[in-house]
Amino acid sequence: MSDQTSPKAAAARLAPSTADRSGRASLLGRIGDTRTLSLLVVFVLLVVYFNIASNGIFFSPRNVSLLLRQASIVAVAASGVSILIIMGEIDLSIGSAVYLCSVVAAGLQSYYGVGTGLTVAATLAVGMALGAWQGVWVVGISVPSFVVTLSGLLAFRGIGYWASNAQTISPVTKSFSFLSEGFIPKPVSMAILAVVLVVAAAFILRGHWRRARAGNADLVQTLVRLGVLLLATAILAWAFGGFLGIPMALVWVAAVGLVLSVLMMRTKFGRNAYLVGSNREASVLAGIALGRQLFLGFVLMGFLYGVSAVLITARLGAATASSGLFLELDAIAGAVIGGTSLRGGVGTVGRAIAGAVLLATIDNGMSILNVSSFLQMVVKGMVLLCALAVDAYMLKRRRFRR
Amino acid sequence: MSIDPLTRDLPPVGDGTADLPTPILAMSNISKSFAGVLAVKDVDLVVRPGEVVGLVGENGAGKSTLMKIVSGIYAAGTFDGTVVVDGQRRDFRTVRDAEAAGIVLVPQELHIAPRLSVAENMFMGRLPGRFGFVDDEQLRALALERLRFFGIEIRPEAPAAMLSPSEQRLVTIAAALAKSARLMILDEPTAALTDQEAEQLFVHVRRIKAEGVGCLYISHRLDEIERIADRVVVMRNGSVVERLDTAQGNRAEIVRAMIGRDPERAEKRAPKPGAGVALSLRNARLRDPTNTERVRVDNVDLELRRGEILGLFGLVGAGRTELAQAIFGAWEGSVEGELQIDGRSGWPRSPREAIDRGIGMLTEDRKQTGLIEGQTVLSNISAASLDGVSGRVFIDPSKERSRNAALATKLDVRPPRLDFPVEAFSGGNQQKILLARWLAIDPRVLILDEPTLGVDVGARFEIYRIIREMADEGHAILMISSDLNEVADECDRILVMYKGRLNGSFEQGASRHALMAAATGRGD
Repeated sequence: MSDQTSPKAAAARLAPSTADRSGRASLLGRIGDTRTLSLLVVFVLLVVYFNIASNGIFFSPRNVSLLLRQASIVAVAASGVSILIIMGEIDLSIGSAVYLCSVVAAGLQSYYGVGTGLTVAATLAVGMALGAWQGVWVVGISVPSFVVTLSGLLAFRGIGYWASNAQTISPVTKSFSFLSEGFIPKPVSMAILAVVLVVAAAFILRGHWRRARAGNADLVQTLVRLGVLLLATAILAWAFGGFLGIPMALVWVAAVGLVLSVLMMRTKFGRNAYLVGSNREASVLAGIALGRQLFLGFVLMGFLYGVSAVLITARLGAATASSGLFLELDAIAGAVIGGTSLRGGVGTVGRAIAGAVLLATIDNGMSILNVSSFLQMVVKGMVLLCALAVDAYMLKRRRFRR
Repeated sequence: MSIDPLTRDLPPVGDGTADLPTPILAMSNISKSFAGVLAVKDVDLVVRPGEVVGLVGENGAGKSTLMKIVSGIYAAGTFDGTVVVDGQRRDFRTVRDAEAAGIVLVPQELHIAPRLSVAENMFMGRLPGRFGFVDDEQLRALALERLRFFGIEIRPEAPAAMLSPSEQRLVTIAAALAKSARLMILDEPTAALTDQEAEQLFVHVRRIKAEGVGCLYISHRLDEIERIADRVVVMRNGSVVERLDTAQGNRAEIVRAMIGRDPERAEKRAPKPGAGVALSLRNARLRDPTNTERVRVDNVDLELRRGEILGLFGLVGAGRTELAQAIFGAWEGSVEGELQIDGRSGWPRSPREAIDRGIGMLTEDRKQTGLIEGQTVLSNISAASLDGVSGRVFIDPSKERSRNAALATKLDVRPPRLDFPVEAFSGGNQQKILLARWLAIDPRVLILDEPTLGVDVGARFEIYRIIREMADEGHAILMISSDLNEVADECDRILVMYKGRLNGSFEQGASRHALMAAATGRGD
């Protein structure tokens, strides 16, 4: 190789374009990608608007706590379905499956007097069985998940109605209800938040230190992240300190979000989920066991049917005929608003949860402003449409640039 | 004003060069940048009536950008410089504007609607109509006229799915000419064609030329350029770096201009004698997955030794890819015969099993079956070997990163950025990323299906170097290729397939003539 084309020279020649591509030039670019930023801006604008319009009722500890509890069920479902969507699959049966699990939970509690722990275990098991059932059809018989879960949407609710005669099943025990509606005492809540703050800050600093060792640390970025973390913890501390403490429903969401995020970012399952969703044929030719991957995904989704069912049953203190109606649509909408691409291969659990919270914010804010619930549906529809339009527009622009 | 013949292609129209006809196309001082990076720098380009101008350059040299400017895909105002067509300055806003001026681009990738008729495909977007309904009579007549000109023997109302790839290409060109073209741009027109089909295409290009239409011919294949182009323009890094008045006999010069240096010469390898057998095949027979009567590969015996590069040469459809898929556990039809990998018998039933037994396969269609677009270089390299850097459940991030970084450095992936999505890389670097994926499993046997397809000249020689290094490290390489020069220069031994059977075995240094004869069914 001649001197002028040595790797060093080549790297030098490439340097300007690489700096440009990494997009670290602008301050905004350092905070996050455009998607996260636009989500954040919309969120802040909504909060400000609702708070002014409601004379300060919206942004009160009581309402923030309520809002987060309202968001919890959709958030759990959205984080699960985002994983399926990332793998290039879909689940339309979530609402019905959650209803069926809820019938099981409420039935065990009120008819058979089964204890709280056993009820939860049984509900999760039923959820996983439903997920496995759909997984078998998708993987073993190669029926598209759209069709399999569409049939689940009809059949699961049908089974629930058949078993319950479409009657409300209640009551549930106090200890079961506590699983969603209970609160962690304030002092313990504060201690938990403090621990979370310290651990999260430690992670951010460790990341910064690692990048510094690799020579591409960005101090501004790290500071912004720490600032956002501090602000978020402060708001939560203010809300929970002002109203009863951390709601139990949020503990579930936090646990699900944390475990699934780690699953998607750090494990073989998570890595393969992205690969399978981006190019299925190539992943199989790279030796990824597609069937196993998809089946596990559906069983995982099934587990989350169970979690959602526990939350919804505990919240309502009953299984009602309308439990979980349209939950799948809210969950998919939340995931998509959070940046999960319906083309597969793109998205994160954390952002799907953020999308669900954004939807709940709109719901809650409009309820406070006394907007008709019919109009609320229209607004949510429009929000979803806008989120997808932004997605499509960005994709088009990126393609055009290339 | 003195005019440097290299940088200034032709003086502007009407300054006294009377013996030359008015150019169909004269572009001058064209520059275009993306996000501050210049993709095309101050380029002049002229095409005269009845002239074929070969435009060559590596991927990313700016050819495609330039063509998108000519054909109106990039609207006037988004670039600098002027486009003059038939002596008149033009500012195209859309592709339709350009087409109205007689400039037609035949894209590299064909967009054929297989269920629509040939005629409908040809006149898509411009169907002759009457009161909002399609005028079938007129459509048929128009299509027939164009098809006859090319001597394509097909009914215009037949579904387009019946056309072979080369016929599809010809039909697209016929359709382009139906737009009363003045200038036709052919972008890699022979990429999917066999040699004979390419030959046919050239005949037609010459006929078009005779009608006074100008032609811009973009290709990686310099032998084609040599045969079809009247003049050659070479681009590198967005600029025109060479203009040659004839392509004949200038191949070395063109290559040097394209890559900016002399290509590396392949050194003859001396495979170690007496190395162990890595893979052996006895009486392999593959049946078609949908029609079990149809035997796609029959009676193939082969033996591949460690450290050897075995070439598998043949025409498209000779059964080479099918054989490779069967060895890799990816063939869907039935498989007979005996396969031994490192002494262990049995055909793998899935790519996973094949990989576990030490076989890797670089697939032919990089975009479809190789690259996992949207994901990073890091995950693309790890795709087949995640177990090697993971525990039972968790990936070890630092282990993965350092292993993949080492592979990317070894294969000289440029830029060496593991966090970039793979689609940001050139074809050659994408191929290196995929080679890294297979090196990561430390394969006993690596099957390479058309390893340099769609890869530019510079990267091609690097890939040859990598393949030789892999063989030197003891990996056994089975290299499928339709490129005669590649097979002849890079392989230690060559098997030739013809219609699903082996039709000749050659040692290194076999004559190209003999190889071609075996591949086309003569010889033996």
